[in-house]
Amino acid sequence: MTARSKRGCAVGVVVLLFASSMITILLGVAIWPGEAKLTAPFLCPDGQPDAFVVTDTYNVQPGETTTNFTLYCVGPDGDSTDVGFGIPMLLLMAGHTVILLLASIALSVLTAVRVKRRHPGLSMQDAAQVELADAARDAAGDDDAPPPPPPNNPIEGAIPPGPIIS
Amino acid sequence: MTQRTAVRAGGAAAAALLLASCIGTISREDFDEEIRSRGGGMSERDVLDVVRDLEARLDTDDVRVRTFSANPSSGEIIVVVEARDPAEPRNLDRFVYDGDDLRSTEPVQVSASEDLDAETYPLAAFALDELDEMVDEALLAYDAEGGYIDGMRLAQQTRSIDGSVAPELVVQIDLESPRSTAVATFTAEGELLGVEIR
Repeated sequence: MTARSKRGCAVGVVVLLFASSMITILLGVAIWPGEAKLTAPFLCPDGQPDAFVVTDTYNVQPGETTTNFTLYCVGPDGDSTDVGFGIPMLLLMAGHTVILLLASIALSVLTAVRVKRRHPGLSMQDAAQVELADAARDAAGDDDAPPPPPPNNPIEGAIPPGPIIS
Repeated sequence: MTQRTAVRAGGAAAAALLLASCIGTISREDFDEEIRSRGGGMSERDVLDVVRDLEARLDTDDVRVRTFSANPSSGEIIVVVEARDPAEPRNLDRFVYDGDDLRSTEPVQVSASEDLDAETYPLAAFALDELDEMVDEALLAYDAEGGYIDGMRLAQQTRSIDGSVAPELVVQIDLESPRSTAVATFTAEGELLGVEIR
């Protein structure tokens, strides 16, 4: 692995973690706190299978409201365990990371297959640049414009110019 | 972005804002109601955890207590114990547990006239590992619609048998329903003595 590809991997990991943490905060706190119940099979003790996410709302001071979420595991007799909300959130973030990773891998594979089919003679990098140029042209709605030439013509690139013999 | 897409996105954003932070959650009041509908949440496991913790802290298997009460409170059991220090038998300490966690420990003032030998009793005398069965039996005997366990305590009461008065260790379970309250009394071994509606 070259230094450039290592750097690319590191950037990818950082972007992936940032995206999953943002999704976790947005989804798990702002929109759907009940998602934490999905972690109950991993966190709830035996005999307390029912999970509840309980909201506690406090008026800290006039005009300021704080809402806390707590995941409880409850048994059939009402016995319960306070699991908190931090560990469920970490588990959800791990799950979101895996989902994003699988989605990005699937998208990359699909894109690579499509590019290879449309440009069998080009290298993957060149074909990707052509795809990007096509996409940009489509987005601009410039259908009449001629397609730009590939950045590196493989035929030209394959035969280096030799000396002219007269 | 077409106009239709913009309208859809706006609708989704409005729905998200309207439903924000409420999908899949319940309020504390509803949670307490859910716990009560299941019987109150008195857990033998939590009480035994406290007993084990006390034994470890006091470094003895023979913990003597003057009071021991447990009250379910919104998903946690608050246990308050006044236990005798085996290293210094004149000392009594109050331990307050919030679930498994020891919330506070404080000394209890004991007057010179108090006889701690007579007032305290061993925790090991109680069949606390039968507490779940006692709870079920108490709810069954109470037989009140919406009945739940409000708390339990260990006590030493006097009982008159054939004219002579003798101390007796009992487990008392407080019951409550929308229409009444009651106390179920069990022997230390877990045998139901009766349910008194109040």
